[in-house]
Amino acid sequence: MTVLEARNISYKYSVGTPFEMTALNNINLKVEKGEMLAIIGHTGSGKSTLIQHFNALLKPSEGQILLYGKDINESKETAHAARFKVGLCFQYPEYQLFEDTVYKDIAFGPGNMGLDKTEIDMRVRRAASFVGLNENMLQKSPFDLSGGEKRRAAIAGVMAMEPEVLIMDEPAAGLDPKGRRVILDLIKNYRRQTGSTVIIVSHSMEDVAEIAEKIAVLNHGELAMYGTVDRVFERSSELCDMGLNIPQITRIFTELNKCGFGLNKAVYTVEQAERELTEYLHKGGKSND
Amino acid sequence: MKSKTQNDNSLIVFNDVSYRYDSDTDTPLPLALKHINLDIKKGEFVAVLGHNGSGKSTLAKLANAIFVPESGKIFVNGMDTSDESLEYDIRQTVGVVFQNPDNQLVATIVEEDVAFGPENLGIEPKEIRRRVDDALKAVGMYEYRNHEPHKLSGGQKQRVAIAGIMAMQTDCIILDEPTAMLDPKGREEVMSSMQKLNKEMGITVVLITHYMDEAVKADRVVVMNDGQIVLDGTPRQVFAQEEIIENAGLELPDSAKLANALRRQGINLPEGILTPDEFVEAFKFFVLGGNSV
Amino acid sequence: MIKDITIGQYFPGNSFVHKLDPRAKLIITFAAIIEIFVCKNFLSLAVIVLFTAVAVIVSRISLKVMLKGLKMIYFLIVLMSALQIFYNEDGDILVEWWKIKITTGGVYTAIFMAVRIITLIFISSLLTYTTSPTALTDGIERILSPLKLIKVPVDTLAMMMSIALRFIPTLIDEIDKIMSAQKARGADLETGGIVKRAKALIPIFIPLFVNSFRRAYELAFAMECRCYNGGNHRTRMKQMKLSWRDWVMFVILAVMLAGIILLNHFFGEII
Repeated sequence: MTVLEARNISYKYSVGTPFEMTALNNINLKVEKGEMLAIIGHTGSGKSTLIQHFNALLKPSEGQILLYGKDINESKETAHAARFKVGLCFQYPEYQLFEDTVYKDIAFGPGNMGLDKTEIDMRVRRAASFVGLNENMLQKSPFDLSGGEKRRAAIAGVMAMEPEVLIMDEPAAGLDPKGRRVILDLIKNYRRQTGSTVIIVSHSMEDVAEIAEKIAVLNHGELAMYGTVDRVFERSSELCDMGLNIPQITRIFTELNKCGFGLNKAVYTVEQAERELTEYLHKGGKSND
Repeated sequence: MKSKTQNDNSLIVFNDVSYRYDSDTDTPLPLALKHINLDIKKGEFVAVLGHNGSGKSTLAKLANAIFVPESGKIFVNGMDTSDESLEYDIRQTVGVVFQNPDNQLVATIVEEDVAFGPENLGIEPKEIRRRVDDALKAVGMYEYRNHEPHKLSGGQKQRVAIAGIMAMQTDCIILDEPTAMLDPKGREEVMSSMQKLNKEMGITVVLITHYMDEAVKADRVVVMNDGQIVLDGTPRQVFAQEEIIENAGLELPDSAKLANALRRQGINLPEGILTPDEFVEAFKFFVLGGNSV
Repeated sequence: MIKDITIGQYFPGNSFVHKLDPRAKLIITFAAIIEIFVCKNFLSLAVIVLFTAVAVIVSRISLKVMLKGLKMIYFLIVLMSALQIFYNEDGDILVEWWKIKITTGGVYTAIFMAVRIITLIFISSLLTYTTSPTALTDGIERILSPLKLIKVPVDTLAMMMSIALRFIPTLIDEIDKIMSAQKARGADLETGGIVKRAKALIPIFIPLFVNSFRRAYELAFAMECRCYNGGNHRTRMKQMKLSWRDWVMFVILAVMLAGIILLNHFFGEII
């Protein structure tokens, strides 16, 4: 079932001034329920603009955003409601923490939804457990947490709204490998437990390769590719032309195939690569004995 | 690894240095750096790796006399950083580029920002002009000299920050996670500027980072964990120690991980594979024994 | 959107006016404003209007842009002129209706006041339109530098001003981002009474302050690393030197002042 659909979306900045610029050009995209979609593209490709359309923060110049088939920009009310159904977690969300305790900060979103106290409490605790913040931390000031913890507290603030679709812009940006690992695991965990639809925006192809099922590639405001991870990473040379990195593993397989190895094209994680190469060596390739 | 005595070739020497941040409460914080011994040679390109909180950023502020060690001594070109009268000489020897490009540019115009350091040093206007132009050319930002910093991309801002240090003609530039907030293109721009600085101009570069693929490009890699140096050697030597690296909260590049995984399966690839190209070469050699397909 | 606000509007260019030394421009602007107030009749006012018109033409700033600057005080001009028309009872009566008398004196002064204000606005906006904020700060710093002798920290004040200029766009971006982020969490910034709206700003301003302190802290480190020590013994890459242009302008203003005084004297004062 289609949860979210962008239908012929175009978006222009500063219309009517000499600085008019087309940020998005006729984007068509359908997001299925429970899917894990990654949106990739170089800086300025329109990724951030697109995701802000999904929760009605931006209104398309042309086209419609449909949530369960209904236009979210139909009225002020539907636009406001879309904020809660489509949760958007911005890049570096820790810079938006403001309450005096982590608990209150996570409760901000649910509070704005007009839920009752017990429901809010339940949601705050559920979200906190998703991101691995314990009771002790909930009572701390968000400004006393470590960098990685702040990030998780901010993510919990969006998760606590229990949106149908969770969108995260560069969730692991600027974190060290450990912090990044924690964030990727918590996203996977959240999906497994809630079955929610998740959209992430990322520069890191390794992250995308690890967690996404489908990829949408934006290039200069247009949807350049859209498909399963296999199908998209197969076209690695086109991705390179768009100034995007491809996962190291994909690069290795592309190179080997250029030399005539005839390996599976759609390999992008270390585990897959290990399996693929050992199999290759067992079948026909030489082994070292 | 220890260097109690300084030889002519050393630029920055840490001698048994410990450091602790001030605490807001009565109980003192634990040591951020524990008995560090490190000798950075002139002209080296050293990468300092570690997870957040491993103490790697503290190292930069100590080398630049922003912080003074709790115990032990740091010598920059023979100058003791705890001697306040040498502060400006030390900062003219070692410059620092920080993580957030927005928070280190002072002026509203690119070239004036680059001029900020030399102006503070009281250098002649003509000489400043020359240095500013040279520095901007070196990082490929000369065409942008009259632009406003806030209109530049992250990578461009970071290159302006590098030029700002270069214009002070320091012998060494320490870059404290300069690419953490950049996109892949910005990271590449900054990395190539850094390599150019080191290889073509002979400036000593200390790159503090948690990105393994950046550290691969250095001559020497120092890995920090919990305020201590746990590894110090060439990238190949260091990255062969997968266990220590992972214990330090870091991850090897995927190419290295794949090579190690295959080696554990008994596939005889050489040690020290770090990049996709190296992997491809090694795998081809292994399968074909040097013959082409 | 907040981003659309432009601050210290500067239109880069290469005209005679752009090329004037910022210090000279500050002095010229100041002198011209004084001269506007010295004018007592239409003839002397015509001199300064002509001067302003030539300056605008030479600067190549479009009239549209210049008129835009009037938008904000349009109402003020109309109000002041109206007051003059209705309350000034000198001269012949033109219209008399109920208690309101409109006299020639009233109309003259109304026009005189309007022209005066418009000229004033044109001259001062020409300064900011043709001088970059940095050059302006530098100019002010150097004009005020004699105050250092009485221990006024002119360098530090100038540095503060230039940092403020540098960070205004950054902070505007940041406010924009924080607003979007809190809106995404359902914050309602647009409806409700004053109290509700003020309360709604808390989630915007607390992060903004916290982030600004963090920025300030990091910037201080970066400046220290670059050997900033409060401006003592600082040199400047860009030297300011008065050129022939500046001297020409000084002479023109002096001649104008003399002319205005003479015209005032020989042709009567209307104000």
